[in-house]
Amino acid sequence: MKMAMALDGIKVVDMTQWYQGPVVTAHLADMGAEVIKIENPRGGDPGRGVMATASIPTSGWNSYFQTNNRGKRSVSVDSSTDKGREIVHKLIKDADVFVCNMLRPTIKKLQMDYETLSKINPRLIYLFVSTFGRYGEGKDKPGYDPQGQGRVGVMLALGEPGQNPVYTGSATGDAMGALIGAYAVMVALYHREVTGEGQEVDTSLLGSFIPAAADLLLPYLGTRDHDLTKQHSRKERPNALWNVYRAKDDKWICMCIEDSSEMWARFCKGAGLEKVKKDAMFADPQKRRENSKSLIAALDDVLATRTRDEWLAGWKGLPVGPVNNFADLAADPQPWANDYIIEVDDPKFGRQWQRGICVQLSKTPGKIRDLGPELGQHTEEILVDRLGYSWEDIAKLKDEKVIL
Amino acid sequence: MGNALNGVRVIDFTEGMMGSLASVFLGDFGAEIIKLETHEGDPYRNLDSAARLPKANWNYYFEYCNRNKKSIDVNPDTDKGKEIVYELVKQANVFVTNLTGQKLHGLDYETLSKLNPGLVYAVGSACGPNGPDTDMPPIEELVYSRVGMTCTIGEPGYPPVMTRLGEPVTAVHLAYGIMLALFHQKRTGEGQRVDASLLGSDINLSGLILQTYLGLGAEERKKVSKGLLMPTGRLGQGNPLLITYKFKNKWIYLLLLQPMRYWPNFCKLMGIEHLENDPRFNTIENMCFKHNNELVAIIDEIAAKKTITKEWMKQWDEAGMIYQVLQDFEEISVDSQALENRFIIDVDHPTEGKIKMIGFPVQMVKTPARLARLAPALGEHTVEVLVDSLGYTLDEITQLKKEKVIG
Repeated sequence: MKMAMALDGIKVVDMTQWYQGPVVTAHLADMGAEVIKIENPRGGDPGRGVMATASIPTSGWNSYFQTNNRGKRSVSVDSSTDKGREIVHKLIKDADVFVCNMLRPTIKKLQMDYETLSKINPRLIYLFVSTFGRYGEGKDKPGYDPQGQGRVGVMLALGEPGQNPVYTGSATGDAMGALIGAYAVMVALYHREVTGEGQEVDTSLLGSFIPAAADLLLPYLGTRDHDLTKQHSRKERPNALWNVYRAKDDKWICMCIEDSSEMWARFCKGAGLEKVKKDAMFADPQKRRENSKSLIAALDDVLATRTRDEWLAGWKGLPVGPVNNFADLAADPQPWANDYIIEVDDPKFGRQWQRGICVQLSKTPGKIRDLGPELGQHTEEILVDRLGYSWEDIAKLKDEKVIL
Repeated sequence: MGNALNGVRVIDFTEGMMGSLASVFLGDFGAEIIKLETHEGDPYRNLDSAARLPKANWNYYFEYCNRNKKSIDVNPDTDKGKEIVYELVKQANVFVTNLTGQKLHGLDYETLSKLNPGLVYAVGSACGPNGPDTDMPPIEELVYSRVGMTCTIGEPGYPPVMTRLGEPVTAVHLAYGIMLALFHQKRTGEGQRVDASLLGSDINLSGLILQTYLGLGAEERKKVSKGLLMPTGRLGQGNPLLITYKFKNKWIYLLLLQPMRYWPNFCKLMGIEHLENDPRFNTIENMCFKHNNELVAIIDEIAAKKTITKEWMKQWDEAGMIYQVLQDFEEISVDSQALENRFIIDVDHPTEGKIKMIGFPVQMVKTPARLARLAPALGEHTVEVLVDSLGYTLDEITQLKKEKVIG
């Protein structure tokens, strides 16, 4: 069997909203799955109504929704009505995967819970995406992105002592949760391919952020040293050469040099730091470690005398680089060369830049198809072509407000 | 109960976190992971190998990144060693690596895919397989700095914050890519190369806010700065009910996305009923754009005097408030929600007694993830694998040891 994409022929029914859930199925759509997004006729996914992200108003098009739902088809159906539920249940019959991130009681009331759907289709992979996981007192709580990282301990450990807790940025936790969700679907699909068995799978914001924070959390779990739960100043780093420094033009430099005599020599030579180099306090790696505070202070003074690019020019080949912003990233050829950022030409929205494909498969590469669908854009097509409804049925369903 | 990935065999030629952790996400579900090591072993067997890792009595880093694996110790530079590796590769479904140059010992995609055309060959790197910077060192802070996300977080005027999420997140990207390719392999027999990188992963993780920037038109992109190219900080957020507050004993993150809907209840809970109809705060426009700093100052002052208790949280929950009490690493490690869901697990360690380890983010009802074994000692399973999988005799093994082909 020849397949151009890894998930050719895989059918996904999607009852998700906002970010964590929709991005699970966007990942699957990027890899070739056919995703049918079920939305209520009263506005659908509330992500459609997002007026601004990062305090920037959505302009002309809703880049948030259109990206989170790219490659999907929208069927607008009121699944709280008997006829609406029937439509979704019919779609479930030959679906491979169902993904939802509503609250459990809501999903039960809609009769879209695992017990109901697995009776219709025992081979179904049922992914439930929550805030805090399948069990425990928090299992039915609603939540937003900061609740993962805020609960895990990351916000209190980042930044300078005294700085307000640092949020790692819009939806980092949701993005991780979405990725974990896509990975979970694949593990379950693989198992089904081998055994024929479908099953219920849960992923969550909290459960996903804990492994995301591994680099920070493991040292605490290993040592139980309370000091590691707190913020630490860049002025007190044990290795002065693994730090950030501000240059004359207020641009920052990120330096990640494992200190050794050889690296120190290259570092000093590249920057013309003869005076610092000669200082007996910094004569060898051990002294530099003992006197790292003084070395950081000395480097702060010196590095403030030239612009970032002047410094970087002297350090070619060393693990030192600029602290960029998104404009720099968009001008960087590297993400474009790897499809991490892609320009698409969408029939509705024209040429648009998209965050790209997150993993590269050499023979079945991912692809961005159309951007997010209009609400109910594919209702008629799916009902008629897939489920065999007649045009009279459609008209009636519209009258009864079962579909848009 | 069975395991989801029973019968999947992975050869893991990795070190550190990005590569090693990728196969953990397969081993947790029952794939057989054979960690291939040279006689020197993975440098992360020694915590001293990375200065940033604090000392401890047990290797918390290696234990997590290598659980559920077997270790074989083979010198792939000898002919006989190469033969062992090649035979294993022929039987494997997946080969995963983050090593390059001499450290890869010639076990590249071209060579291995010829031996086994169905092989999924997975690579973790700094910046991906294409473009001008394919040989950048895989250091998370350097790559994260390059992505630009750090310019959007924290407070204006503070040094850029390094969140250090990229390495474990890349491991999950790689595991996801491997699962896609494995599924394709199962359906078609076709193998392929899979790539994930710190750059791609940090971009995906920054997806929402980065997309806000990418989604602007060319002209608008030139104009934006705050929030996208530099941090807005706590005060620049707009909605005063969507930021962190410092109470007497704890920080909370208030998450009232629709402020007006929650405002009356919020006023009652905070004891500021007199402000409920205050014209400064009676519309979104007034509260979030015109007078937000005033309201933040008022709430700051009251919060500083209030202690967050169980009773307080109960009241807030009953009033339908959405918020998060910020915890530290100590609190999450004993959080019943994390423990009941096995996001964090308690494990018996032979020398350390009870230890805490990061658990499993995915809950599968019929085929749950499990911890079958702690990280292996170097070469702990060399003999087992050579005898059971490759049919070597014990005499041959003695000879291979003598010739230092295996450790």
